[in-house]
Amino acid sequence: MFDFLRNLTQSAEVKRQERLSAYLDDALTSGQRSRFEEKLAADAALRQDLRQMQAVKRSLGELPRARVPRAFTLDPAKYGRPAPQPAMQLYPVVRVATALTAIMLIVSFLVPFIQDIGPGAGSAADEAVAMERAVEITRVVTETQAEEMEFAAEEAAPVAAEMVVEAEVVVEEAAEAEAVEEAEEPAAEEELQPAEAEQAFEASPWVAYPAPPQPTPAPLGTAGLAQAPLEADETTATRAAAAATATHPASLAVEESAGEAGQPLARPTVDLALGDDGQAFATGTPAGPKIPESRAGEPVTETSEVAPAAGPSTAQVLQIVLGLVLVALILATWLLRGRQWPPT
Amino acid sequence: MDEPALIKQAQRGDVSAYNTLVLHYQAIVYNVAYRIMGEPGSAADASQEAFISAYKNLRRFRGGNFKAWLLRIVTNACYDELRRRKRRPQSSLDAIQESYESSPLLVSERTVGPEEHQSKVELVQAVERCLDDLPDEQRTAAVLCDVEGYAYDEIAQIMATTVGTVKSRISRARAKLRDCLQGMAELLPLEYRLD
Repeated sequence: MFDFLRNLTQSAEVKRQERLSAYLDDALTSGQRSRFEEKLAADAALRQDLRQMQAVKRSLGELPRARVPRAFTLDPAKYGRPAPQPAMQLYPVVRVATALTAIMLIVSFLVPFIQDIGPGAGSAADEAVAMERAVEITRVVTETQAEEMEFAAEEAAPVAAEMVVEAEVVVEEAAEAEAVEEAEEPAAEEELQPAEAEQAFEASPWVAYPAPPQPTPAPLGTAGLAQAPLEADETTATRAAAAATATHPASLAVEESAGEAGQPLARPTVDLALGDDGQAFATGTPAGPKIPESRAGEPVTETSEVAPAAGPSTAQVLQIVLGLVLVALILATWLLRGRQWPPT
Repeated sequence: MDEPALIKQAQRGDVSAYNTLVLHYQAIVYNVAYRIMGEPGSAADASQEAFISAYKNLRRFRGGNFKAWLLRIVTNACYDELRRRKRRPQSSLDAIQESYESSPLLVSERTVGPEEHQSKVELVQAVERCLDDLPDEQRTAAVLCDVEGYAYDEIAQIMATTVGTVKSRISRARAKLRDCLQGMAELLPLEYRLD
């Protein structure tokens, strides 16, 4: 490019001399040589210049050769083995390694995209693991709810048994009272229907209170009575379990942590109380384990995942390693390249 | 001489292998240095420095034209010496006479008559003077082309430049030498005059 620019700025005389010198050294192309010979045949001054140039070239060529004054060999004792530079021998190897590492790094970035786009997008293994986790979580939650319901039922059973005994006593007392009343007022008094008797019985633990104006339609027997609080407790327990589950979805983890800590789970307590409408309802702590504090004293926070957070994947580790290796190889290549020697 | 094998041995630290290369190329190296520097003492210093530098940096030679690589080293050493001394090479009649008389070429011509011998000496003196007046780069190009006989591409490799630049430098050097010698025509024998 610089020759082209120089040719543009050169004068005609300078170009003529250069062509003459190149002709003298047989450095013209066949086309250039033939055209120059045509000019030479037609230009006497050009022929004169050529003769003078030939004389100068001949004069320089006939300069005597200088005899070497001494041998310029090196002293082995002084110079010996040159400084080892094994790194220079590794220069081509380092260049190839740099190129291969760069290619591997690019491939490691492209593989996930190819897998996402492909027909089997998504790792089957990852999906299977996710499914297993979902099934496990569902099973655990179900078991937890069942256990909670069992706890509630167990706690409610003695209470129900007590209620049954009290109910029997109340029935007997009520029967005696009726008998007495019948004896005293046989006609005017209304007979209490069994349902009404039961209804009264329901209110009987708090017999001092007036009977509820709204009758309970479901007939209840002792078994039913025993079931009623149990059902109520079950309902309550279920609701409490659902509430506990909804509030503390990591109940399993909490149970596990509590179990590991050796702390007993909080047992649900069920008490019966009479509402304003005469309906009995269960009171007490909701069925569900209390959330103990962790061993470290920090409150257990809600988490939506059961499994611990995953570390960097194999692909990410590989990418990091390849990136570091590539940086090191590029640095080594730059160090080994050095300056062109000898300098101009 | 198996030059590639000697170079590899020298790169591994074999000084004797390198000295074999030195003995083979020292005449060429010294003559180029002599024509650039213009006097034997400086030429010898530049040649020795060039061979030492070449040995120390032999690992950087990655194959190719070893002679061109060596001549590039010696031309750079000559340029460094010229810049360091900050003087143009001065040729003395005694030095030219000495080199003329000790040259193998001149030994064969010593059979000619004394007059012709004297004419030769005067011509050499004139050419040397005109050569010394050239700029360093033009003088180097003219020496490598017309004195040593290298082709344009080899000269471009030695001087680390383009072929076009080599052509330009040689053309300008010859034109200046022609003008210089025409100015001393009356001092030249008839058969050496350019007219």
